[in-house]
Amino acid sequence: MKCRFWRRDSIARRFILTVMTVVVCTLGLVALFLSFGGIWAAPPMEKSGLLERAVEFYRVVNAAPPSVRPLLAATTSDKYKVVWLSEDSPASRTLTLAARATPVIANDGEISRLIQSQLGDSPAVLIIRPGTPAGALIPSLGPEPQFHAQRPAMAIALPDGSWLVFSTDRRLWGLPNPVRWTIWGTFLLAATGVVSLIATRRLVLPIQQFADAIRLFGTNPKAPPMPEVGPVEFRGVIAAFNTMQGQIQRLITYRTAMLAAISHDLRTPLTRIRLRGEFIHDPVQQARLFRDVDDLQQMIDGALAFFRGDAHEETMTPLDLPSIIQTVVGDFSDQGVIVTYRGPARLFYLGRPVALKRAVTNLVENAVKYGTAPDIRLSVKPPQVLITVTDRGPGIPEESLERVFHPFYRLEKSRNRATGGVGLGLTATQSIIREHGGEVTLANRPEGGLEARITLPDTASTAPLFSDATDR
Amino acid sequence: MPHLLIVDDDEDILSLLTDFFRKHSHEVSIAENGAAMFEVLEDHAVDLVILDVMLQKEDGFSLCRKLRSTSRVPVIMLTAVTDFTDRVVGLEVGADDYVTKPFDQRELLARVKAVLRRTAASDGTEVGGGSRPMLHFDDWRLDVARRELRSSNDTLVVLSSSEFDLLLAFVEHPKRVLTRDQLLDLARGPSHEAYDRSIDTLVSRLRYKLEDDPKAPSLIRTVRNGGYIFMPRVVSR
Repeated sequence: MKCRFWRRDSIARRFILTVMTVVVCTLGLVALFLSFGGIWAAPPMEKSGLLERAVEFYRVVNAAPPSVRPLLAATTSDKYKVVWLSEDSPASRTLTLAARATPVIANDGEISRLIQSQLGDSPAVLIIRPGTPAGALIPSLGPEPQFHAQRPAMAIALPDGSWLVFSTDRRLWGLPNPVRWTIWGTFLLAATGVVSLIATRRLVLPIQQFADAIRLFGTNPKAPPMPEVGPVEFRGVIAAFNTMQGQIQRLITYRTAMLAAISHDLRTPLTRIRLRGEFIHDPVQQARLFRDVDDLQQMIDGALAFFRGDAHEETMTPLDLPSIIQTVVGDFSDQGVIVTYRGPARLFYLGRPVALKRAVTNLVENAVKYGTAPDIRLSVKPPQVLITVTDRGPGIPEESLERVFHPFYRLEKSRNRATGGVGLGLTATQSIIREHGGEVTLANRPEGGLEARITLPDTASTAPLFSDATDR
Repeated sequence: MPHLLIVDDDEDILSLLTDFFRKHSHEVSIAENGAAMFEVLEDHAVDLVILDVMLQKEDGFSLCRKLRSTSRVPVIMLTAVTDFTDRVVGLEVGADDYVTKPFDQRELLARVKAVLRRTAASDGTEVGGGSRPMLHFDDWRLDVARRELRSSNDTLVVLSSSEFDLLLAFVEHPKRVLTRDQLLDLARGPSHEAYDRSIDTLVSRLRYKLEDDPKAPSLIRTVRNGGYIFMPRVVSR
């Protein structure tokens, strides 16, 4: 059981390995840090217990006769070296002078005070750090190896004028608390951060690939199935997704086939009706019949175009955008609906002419159906091309402004085609405009009426590509 | 009397169309599938084939392609969908025009006449133009088969169907004064119901789309009390 668990590339195993890697690596880095930068991490001198020991030692030396003092000094040193300087040695005199000049060295007042308070009778205390004025004293103290210019030392005067000098191998006594914790914290954060980042990237990668594949399927329903790789649990998810994708693709294929069949089967009888209609002698009834046929055909076309999403299939071509709008204007004018156009006479655009014409036609149709004959305006505001269709009708209730783009949604509750349409016009327009990388929005105008606004990305930048093209 | 061959698998449509075209003085043969179509073509000198795309055994596209490999008889396809893929495929397999089902039979008649007229005209003047003439004038290129107008830098200028028909009428009769009646006949066929005014509207729309300055037209000029004249030289390539 245990073996199988470990042999399988599961998320659990990856997770355990990742956590272990992170912890081990961080610990290793901390160890490295301590061995190389231990001084920064060490506690300050007053917390290390050294001071207390120095005080005790001072008391012992003070109580001993001068003859045994050097011996005591030589035997008791462990963490730090101790030297006793007799009162008549030149070094003692130097220290006494220095102590008189500066009874307490400014930046170590804290340590000096601690020692003085513990000893009761305030002896002179000199803290000698390398690089400070007191540091200059060190060479004059004597030839002993512990009096090294780079090592800090502490000298305490005995009541008889002799001096005890403590010195340590460490170069520093440690940093003040806030700095120490900041350095510690930063290092710990950085170390764990880097290690976990590297480790979790491996963990997250399959999820990202999965998300990418889903996104691809969203834009392209014909996307190939995903390869089943990664941890076991994930392979299960991918397999499930692939099955679902296959089902969706099958549904789309069936639907397309069904629609093509319906379209064909409906068209033949429609054509017959259209042709038989010629035998109706009452011109009014004939015209009505023809209009019914046209309506039916439009409904079929609209539904088909919507379901097939055939905007994909028309190729992009360089075109003159105003000529499309002018054609729409002309078509409506032939039906006695006067639509006005304002905008440039020529505007290069790269797009799908049939689809774009349908998009504009749908908006105008909508305006005519629900409002009044609209104005169409075309303007270029780099990097966008704007087409606005405005009418002076009643507009659309605010809460429906989004929903009118839903397929088969109509404002009229009745399904009466004379006023309602199939409910696909705006949906089709939206999908066409989105295919072009643009967006279509509706808004009620403050002065009344509806404004439909198509925003298309300006393709003028690609124009030079095509202006070079010459005819064959 | 032009001889038409109608290929469709629906008997009713065949008989209705036969009656209609006979009434408009055409000789009509019918076929229900590809095999029957090729039989008729062997026995008769057919001037034009009206071919349905959706046929039982072999679809209209592949029949049209077969037909094109042996014959240059003009073909009008009856497509099921107002879909450019159908249109483009139809034109690629060598059809001269296409009409979407359900159609107005007068529109079909107009298309038949236009295609016949075009083939008759090109037989005399054109060298190797095939069934898809490309007409050049000024800075423009008119693709008759695709019904497309493009400028010299390949930019498509979208025309409505009637605008295209009128422009085609002009382009096929350049440097000649055409009365409004003549233009109506040429653009819409003889059985039109439109009035003269509609030609003026169409001309002004064409001018707006084609002319650099629609107020001072250089391509389509108005002839006082006469009609219009199409100025540029037209080259067929």
